[in-house]
Amino acid sequence: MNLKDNSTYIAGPTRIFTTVLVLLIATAMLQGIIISTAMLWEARPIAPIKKPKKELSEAEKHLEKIRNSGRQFLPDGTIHLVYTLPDIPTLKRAIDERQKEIYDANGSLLWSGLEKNRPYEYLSWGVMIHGYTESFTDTRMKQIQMITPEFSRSLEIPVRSREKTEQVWRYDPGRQLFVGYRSDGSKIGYIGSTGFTDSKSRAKPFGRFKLFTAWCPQDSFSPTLLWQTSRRIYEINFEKQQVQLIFESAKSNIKQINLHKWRAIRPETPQDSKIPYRPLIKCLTEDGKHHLIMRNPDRKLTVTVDGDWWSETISFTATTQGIYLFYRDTERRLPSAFRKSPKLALEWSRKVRGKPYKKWVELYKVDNKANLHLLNRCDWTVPAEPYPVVEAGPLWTKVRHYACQFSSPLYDLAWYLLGRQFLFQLYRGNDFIRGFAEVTRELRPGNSILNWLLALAMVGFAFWHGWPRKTSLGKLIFWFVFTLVFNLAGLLTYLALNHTPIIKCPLCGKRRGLAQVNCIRCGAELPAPERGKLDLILNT
Amino acid sequence: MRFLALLRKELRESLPWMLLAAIIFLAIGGFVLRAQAYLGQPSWYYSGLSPGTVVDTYRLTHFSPLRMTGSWLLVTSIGLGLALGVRHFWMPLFTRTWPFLIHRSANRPTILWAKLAAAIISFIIPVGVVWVALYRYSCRPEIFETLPTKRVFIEGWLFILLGLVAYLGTALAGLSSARWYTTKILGLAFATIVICMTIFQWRLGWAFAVLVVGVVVLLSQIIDAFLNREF
Amino acid sequence: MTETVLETEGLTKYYGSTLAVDHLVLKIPQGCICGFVGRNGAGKTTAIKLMLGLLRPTAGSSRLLGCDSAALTPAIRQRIGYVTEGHRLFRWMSIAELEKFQRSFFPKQWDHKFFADMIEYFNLPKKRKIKHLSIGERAQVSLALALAPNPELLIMDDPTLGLDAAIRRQFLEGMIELIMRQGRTVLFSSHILGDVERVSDRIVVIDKGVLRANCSLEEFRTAVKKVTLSFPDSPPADVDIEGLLHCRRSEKELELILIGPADEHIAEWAQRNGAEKYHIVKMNLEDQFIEYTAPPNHRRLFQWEEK
Repeated sequence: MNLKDNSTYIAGPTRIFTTVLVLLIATAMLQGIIISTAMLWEARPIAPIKKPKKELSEAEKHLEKIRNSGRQFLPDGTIHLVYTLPDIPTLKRAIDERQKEIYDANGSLLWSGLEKNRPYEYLSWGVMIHGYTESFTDTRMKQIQMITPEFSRSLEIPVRSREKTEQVWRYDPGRQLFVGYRSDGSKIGYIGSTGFTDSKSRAKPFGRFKLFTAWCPQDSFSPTLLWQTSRRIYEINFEKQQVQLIFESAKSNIKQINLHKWRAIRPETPQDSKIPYRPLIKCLTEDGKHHLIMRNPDRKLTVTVDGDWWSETISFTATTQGIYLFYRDTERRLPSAFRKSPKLALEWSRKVRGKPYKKWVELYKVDNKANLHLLNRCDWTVPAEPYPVVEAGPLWTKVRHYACQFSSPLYDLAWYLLGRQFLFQLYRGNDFIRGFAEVTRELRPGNSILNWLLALAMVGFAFWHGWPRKTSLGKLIFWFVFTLVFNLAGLLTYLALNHTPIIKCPLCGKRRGLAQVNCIRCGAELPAPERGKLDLILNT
Repeated sequence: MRFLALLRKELRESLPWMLLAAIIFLAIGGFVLRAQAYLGQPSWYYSGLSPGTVVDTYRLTHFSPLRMTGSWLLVTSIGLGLALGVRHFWMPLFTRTWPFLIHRSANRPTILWAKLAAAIISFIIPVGVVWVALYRYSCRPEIFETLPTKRVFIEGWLFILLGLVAYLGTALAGLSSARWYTTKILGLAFATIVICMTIFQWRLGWAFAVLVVGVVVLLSQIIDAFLNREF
Repeated sequence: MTETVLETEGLTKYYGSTLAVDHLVLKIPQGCICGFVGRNGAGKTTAIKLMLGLLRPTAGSSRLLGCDSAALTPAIRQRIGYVTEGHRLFRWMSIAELEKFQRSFFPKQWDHKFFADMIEYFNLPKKRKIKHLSIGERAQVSLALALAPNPELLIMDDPTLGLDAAIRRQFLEGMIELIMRQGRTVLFSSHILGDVERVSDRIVVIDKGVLRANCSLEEFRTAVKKVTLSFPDSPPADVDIEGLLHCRRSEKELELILIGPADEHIAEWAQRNGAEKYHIVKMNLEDQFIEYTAPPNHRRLFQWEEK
């Protein structure tokens, strides 16, 4: 390819690309500033309906307590309502120093006192690994790999004694395994899905990372990891250089995992150690099945629940006496029929807003064949509450609507073709593409006629500007289509790259460009100046 | 011979900026790196690791000792790119030496390649060599508790190449004959976008892909502008 | 037949919507010294840059040494010396470094002895940097750099701008040195008509981008005349003399600027129209140029009242 070809085939398109990209970003920023300014100018929440403060009777206070109590189950299935008395805000007492009242299912007071003196032992339940510190998700893995001006970070698991670090195992995201180093920097080996090896070629990757949590066993200063990938869960002990495959889902990806007493750590409360729990992991897969992995003894069980149940609120626990399932639900939960579109979801929330609704909790026992047997259930009604609504003011809505009409119609097309999943699927991908998706969502014109009219007006201006400067019909048509597609950014791009000089044709007096030899209207060339009769032009 | 004469001339013009960049990066980058060594064992990272406790996973992520040096590397590279871009493509405008240079008995591409080659050498020698030296120093386990990964080394070279992107953006802006308040700064704006998009990638492959696309886009326009520009 | 080293055909240049050069048709034969003159903003520098391919014409074309200006090859550029307006050189280089740089582009034809002689003649220290030279010294260096490769065609854009009389004389003498070499062609633009008069054998006048004169210096000097005529009464209203460019009248006098007519024709017209006396004013080239390029109905800036 010679340099002339570069000019024709590469430089031209890249110039258009550069200009339109910068101008799209610039117009989006300008639109954002205008919309934000309108929002700030008119930031007004609709005032919430003020409940007249009236003194509650004893009965009403009692009812309030019952409604606000936590529902707890004893191992035999009995339900208690545990109410925590409000604390002085500045005091911030420890959990076991809080004042509690315990009621039975009928609302009769059974006990009152400090949490640490509580005479009842309630079942505790598996919870998702949550919190910024306890769980390390794939999003955070991406974040630490982000280049940034301070370079990317690495995930390193130490093997150490009380005084010093003996080894460091560094995670290699590319190879999806750990590489070990001694304190002198020399390599120890590799830990992959098949365990430890000192050979790079024999080390097998763990698979696509999803989440891990770490704890130090009671006899060690070195972390052990519970490592979850798309389909598997591993337990990795770096000190012993051991990898144990805890669970593998053959058909479906893992959606969520809950842990209960799996991590061998010190008990948090005195009551914790009284019920003989079995370590348990609950693994929810995308096909809706709940897989239980238990220890002491080792056992696996798959539980299938009603399709309409709210999977995220199902918890399990396992003791030496049996396996229990705890379920809670509410009438406020969005029914599946309304999940199809944001519009329907909004319609549902407006329907239920400000009305009383029911909540309930259920306790089931799970038998050896994974069947559920209801042990107990408790439901109650939450009274209607005035619903403070913050809605956009009319000015902001209007400004937003009109500002977005200057956006490219392509934004609407992108959302029409790719849909809402565009945003969520790309969450895992490139952050800039995701950012682009969010911008197109916020600034899309909304299939408005006004948007197309504006685009046509831009094309009209481009025609007025471009016709006298025309060098080729093909180029002109390209720019008209370009302007139509990219709207304001397209027109600005066209003007930036085509604002060539223009003069009045000496013959017909109309505007003509200088890029073409002949006037577009009359066809005349640029005339030579009149030669003065006395000019001494003697080409000897 | 013509190319070498032009290259020597461009290198000589770039020399003060090369030296300045090398000194700044070595001095400040080296100082902040050495400061990491004096922290000794980063015991605070592992202070939460006691038996029978859940580990704060944040403590398991580590910056390399070159963390602060990286910021300085990026700033130095981009600063060098801007300075060289101005020196090579803006100063001839201000000093009106373009006609003298263009009229040399060398074709325009030769003049342009000499400038670009001088720019590449200007990045590799002062900044690249210093970076390699600092990286090698940071790999000493007797001085630093946490050693850098090989990826950090590649990321450093990525930052150096981002300086080249800044250079190309400045060059394109300098070669543009538009007014400053219209499209003259588009080259710089595009270079800024490429730099931002590159340093906030989490996959090195994507980062290099963005960089390569940016360089190709800028370079093709620079070639076109230089060959067709009026001086 | 004399070879044409430079020719332009309808060369036109617009800056935006401003016309800088308008259909310039020019032919410069080999071996001549051509003075390229015009008022400020006439388009001289633009025309020179168009010829050298530094600017792209809006219309028309230009050829140097048989090669299209838009595609001048390095081989052709080697045969052309160019002294830029204002003598803009690399300020950080010393004279010796600049020579070394320039020499790289002329591996075979660089005359080092000639360059060294010129620098010595101008009394310039080789190690001094360009930024420490005065404008006159820079002009000398520019000339030496342009002449040392022994170019066939030397183009200079206002080379004596800002130089004092002594330096200008030296500069012109250097040019004459080149002229004495056979077959060399020089095109230089200048505001100083005295210099043009001293060295040129051809003159090209450009006015508002339009070519007004392209002839030998002798023809120009002969053709442009100023005649003052005195009349006993008021001068004739209708002045129908051949070659009339401008006519200024006072109460009893006429001042005519004429192009081309012989002295006998002037005498015959004066007698026919009843002039008491007439006088052909002796003008130098500068006066001739001013009158030639003056716009019609030109009013002097300061008009003294007679008391």
